[in-house]
Amino acid sequence: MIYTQRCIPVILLGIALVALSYMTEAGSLNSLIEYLNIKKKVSEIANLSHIFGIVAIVCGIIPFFMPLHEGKFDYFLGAIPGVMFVLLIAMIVKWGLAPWAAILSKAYGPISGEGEEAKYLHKVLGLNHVLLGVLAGIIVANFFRIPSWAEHGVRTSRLALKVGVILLGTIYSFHELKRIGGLSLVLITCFTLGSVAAVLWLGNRYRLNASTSGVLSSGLGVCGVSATVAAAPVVQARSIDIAYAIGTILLWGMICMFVFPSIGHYLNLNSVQFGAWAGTGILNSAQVTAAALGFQPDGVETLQTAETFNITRVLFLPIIVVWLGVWYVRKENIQHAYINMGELIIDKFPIFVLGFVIMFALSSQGVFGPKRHHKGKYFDNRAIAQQDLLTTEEKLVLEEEKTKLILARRKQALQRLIDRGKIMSESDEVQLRGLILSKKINADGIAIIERSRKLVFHQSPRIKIIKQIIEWLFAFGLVGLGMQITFTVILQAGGKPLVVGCIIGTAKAVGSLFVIMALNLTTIS
Amino acid sequence: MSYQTVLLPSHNTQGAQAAEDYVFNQCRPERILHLTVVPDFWRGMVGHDWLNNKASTVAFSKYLDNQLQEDIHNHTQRLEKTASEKGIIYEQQLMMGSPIDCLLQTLDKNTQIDAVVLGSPRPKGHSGLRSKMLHRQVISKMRVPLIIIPHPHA
Repeated sequence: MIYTQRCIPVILLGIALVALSYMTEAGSLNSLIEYLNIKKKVSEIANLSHIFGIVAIVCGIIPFFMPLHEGKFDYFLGAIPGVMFVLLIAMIVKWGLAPWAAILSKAYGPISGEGEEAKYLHKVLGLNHVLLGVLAGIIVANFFRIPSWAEHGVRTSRLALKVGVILLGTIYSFHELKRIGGLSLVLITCFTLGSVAAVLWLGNRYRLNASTSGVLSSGLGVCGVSATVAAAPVVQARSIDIAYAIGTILLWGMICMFVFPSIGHYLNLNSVQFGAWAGTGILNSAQVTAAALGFQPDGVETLQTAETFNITRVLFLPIIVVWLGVWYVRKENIQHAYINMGELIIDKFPIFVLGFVIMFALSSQGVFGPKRHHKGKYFDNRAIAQQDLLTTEEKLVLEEEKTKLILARRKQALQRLIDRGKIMSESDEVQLRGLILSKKINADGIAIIERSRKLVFHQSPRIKIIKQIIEWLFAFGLVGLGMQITFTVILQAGGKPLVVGCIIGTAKAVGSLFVIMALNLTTIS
Repeated sequence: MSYQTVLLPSHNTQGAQAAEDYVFNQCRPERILHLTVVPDFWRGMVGHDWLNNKASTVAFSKYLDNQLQEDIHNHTQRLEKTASEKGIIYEQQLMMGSPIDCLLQTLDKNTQIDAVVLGSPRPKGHSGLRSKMLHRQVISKMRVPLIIIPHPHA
């Protein structure tokens, strides 16, 4: 099959992007940029449109001057138009629709609270570039159809999501991974094994056949569509079982993707709480990423937690597939069945997780920034200018606030800050951060400590770039994800499998929310 | 009224089986053209998920393909056997795409068809895949008699 097509739209798309770049740089779009409140993104708009515009023009022209043959070059070149198509939608959403939605929402006024506590409609509904991007993808695929020249490239969005997760490995700290990883292992073990067992039990109660129960339990229990795909041959699922399972999972995944962020904002969940909830409660792992970024589009804390949970549950996939294989053989009393457990485990092992581990290991060794960095930020109090140290007035404020403190180690850390005018060590910074969170001191005191914290934390330039790449990979990947959600597939959800799916999906979402709120998880930052 | 060639679009649902019964036992044409459509929603069921690589997707597509082929093969064999017992000529046409478009295309290409027999959609509360042929578009473009057989659970 030859993937590359001679298509004019790609060249036109490239020309439009280059024109956008020049117009942005020349200031022709200043009034629009001001209206959309995206001045900070001007250089991003100019640079990215320029680079991708040139790529689109070059890759669009090449097929007109060379014979088209099957092969790897054709495979990659043929993907470029689709990549550009998805990217264009991601750009329109990120630079246009999302800022516009925010402006309209702010013009409408807060729906609750006032001042800093004010909650606007776009925040509560999660109408940011992430969820709007997924929505745009769904609308394009279902109401307009993806152009034939873009179909091949749209599939690369799943690669973007995987690369995004792999790169996330660079911004974890060992402490963080240990803490969230441990928590995810406990929660995912309980909820994954629990929901697989619950579906098998419910399937029995509802008299579903073994294949339907098996394929449904894998999808609802582990990580959605990919688990369904992995388990289907093992439990000899029929085509109708697959249709029911995938339809149910996508229906639930889509509902959760849009509903979870709103509930998270309504309940004032912090990033760790929401990430843990999304990572446990959302059936399909692709939608976990979307919900996490939908909840916190301008940071990676929620995404980090959610992806840790996601990776943990993906690691459960080989185990569950083996379990279901053994269960099915026994349940159906199949004679002379042979299950090669080793082969199954290796075959179903998600290799991209190794990439994540490698990136984390490299990051821990200081390849991308100082070894002891946390989310790309590291402690260094050596190069602080004299004028940035605490002023006498600030010291007096802190002296007065110090008298309210009871814990000795917090008092000592604050005293060292007053004495030296800057935070002296990482352990002092931890104590002062705890002090801020405890709210034992007044707003002025908190502002002074926050200023001091900012002075001693520095952003690693390499990790800053990686974070930007991650942001775009997910923006791109999630638009593509939206394009792969089709209503005709979702409409196949029905019958008893849908009833079982609704029971387990609700139980998982509500149960995990209760557990996470009861654990009272705090942020690490 | 007797018909020579009847188009029987059937996907082995209960409604379609009622249509098959009618064709074999009451209508009894000389020739049956059995239309089987693999609806295009199956394209979305081949595991295009972010965790699956190309190899997994291809392997799963093959598995799903085999399952669908097996379903179609069993159904076709049953109809072929019944037709042979009743002395009716049986032909099958397999298509992929929108069931409505496929039905209209088949009707356009086969001018010898003089009736179409369709089963009714399932009543509420009965499970099954959502893909039906009995649509306003089909009725409005029909150039031969369309016989709709009631669903057994109606």
